Amino acid sequence: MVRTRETATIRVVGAKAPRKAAAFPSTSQSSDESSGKKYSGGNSYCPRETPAWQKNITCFFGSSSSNKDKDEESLSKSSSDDSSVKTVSETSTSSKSAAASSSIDDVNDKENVAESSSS
Amino acid sequence: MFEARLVQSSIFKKVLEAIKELLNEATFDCSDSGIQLQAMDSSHVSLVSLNLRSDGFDQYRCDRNLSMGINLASMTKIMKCAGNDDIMTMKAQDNADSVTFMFESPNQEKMSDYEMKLMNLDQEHLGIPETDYSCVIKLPSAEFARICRDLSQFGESVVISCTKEGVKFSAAGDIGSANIKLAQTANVDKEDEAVSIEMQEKVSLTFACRYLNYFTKATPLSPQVCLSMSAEVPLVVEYKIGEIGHIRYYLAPKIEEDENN
Repeated sequence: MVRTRETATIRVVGAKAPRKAAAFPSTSQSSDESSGKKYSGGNSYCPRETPAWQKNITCFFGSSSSNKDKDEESLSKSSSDDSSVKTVSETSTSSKSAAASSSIDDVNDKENVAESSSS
Repeated sequence: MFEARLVQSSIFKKVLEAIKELLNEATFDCSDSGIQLQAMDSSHVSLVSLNLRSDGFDQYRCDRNLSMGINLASMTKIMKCAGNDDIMTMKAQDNADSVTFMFESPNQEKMSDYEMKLMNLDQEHLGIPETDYSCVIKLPSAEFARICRDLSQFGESVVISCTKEGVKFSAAGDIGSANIKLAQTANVDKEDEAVSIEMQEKVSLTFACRYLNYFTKATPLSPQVCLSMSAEVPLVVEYKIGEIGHIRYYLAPKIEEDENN
């Protein structure tokens, strides 16, 4: 390939680019810099695998799906249950339709509680 | 009808940055008390819990409880359309299948709105028991991020040891070993830069470096981070979000199996 003055110029610019980029911190570090220069710079994160010993969080915190079943049972048995049931039913809703139905249930529960307390 | 107005849209941007690497999608539960999110990462190793109180918003209205299943990558794209100084308003109808984000520039000269489709998500919710932790460590969040990053050079596990005198972060691997000790700050002139320890019992626990580094994505949200630890229960890494709420991450420690097993 014939080397012209123009291509030579492009090569020079291209060669400079990586050095220029390396002089600036990565975007992930820049957010830390705003918190204070004291902690900026240093190593970038070295990606690591999850250790083989790592246990799932579900081993420690009970799934509310089982709670949900219990709640549904308790709701069917007694509509005058207290706020603990309501809390779980609120947190266990996941879909939009479920949310709508749960909020209706909540309203019904409150009404039932009001009725039972007044009687 | 749900409507939440936040003068500092940058807070919401930072919240998304703090969760988007752990979660692909999540359900935002909106109620009278505020917006809550609880979700496990796809591997079910860690748990994210976000709470934004209604009184922290500049305007807040939620007539009925609403659960919005949101693709976080899509939400991030929309939030990137907002300027850092923009005022953000989230709006949704009671049974809507979409949510609208409105951004106003501070001088009101630019107004934009973006509608995003909601998803039907079937996410498992966990009950988090109240725990009286053996050690509660508060330290500058940027310092914690720096430590987690530095220790990732050494290995996949980080040991956090806490005594009354201070806290030690350690890691070991192919290139060698590392120990970083932080003493409890004697004089607290600048609260944000202080290291404080409330200890009932000494604790030394091992955690996955990978996840600690995911958690540090919340660093821009708060100048301080709080680590709560007890033997054989998940670590809590908490970042306060101004006066509006908090984000908490939960991660199980390494548990030594019984030698007889």
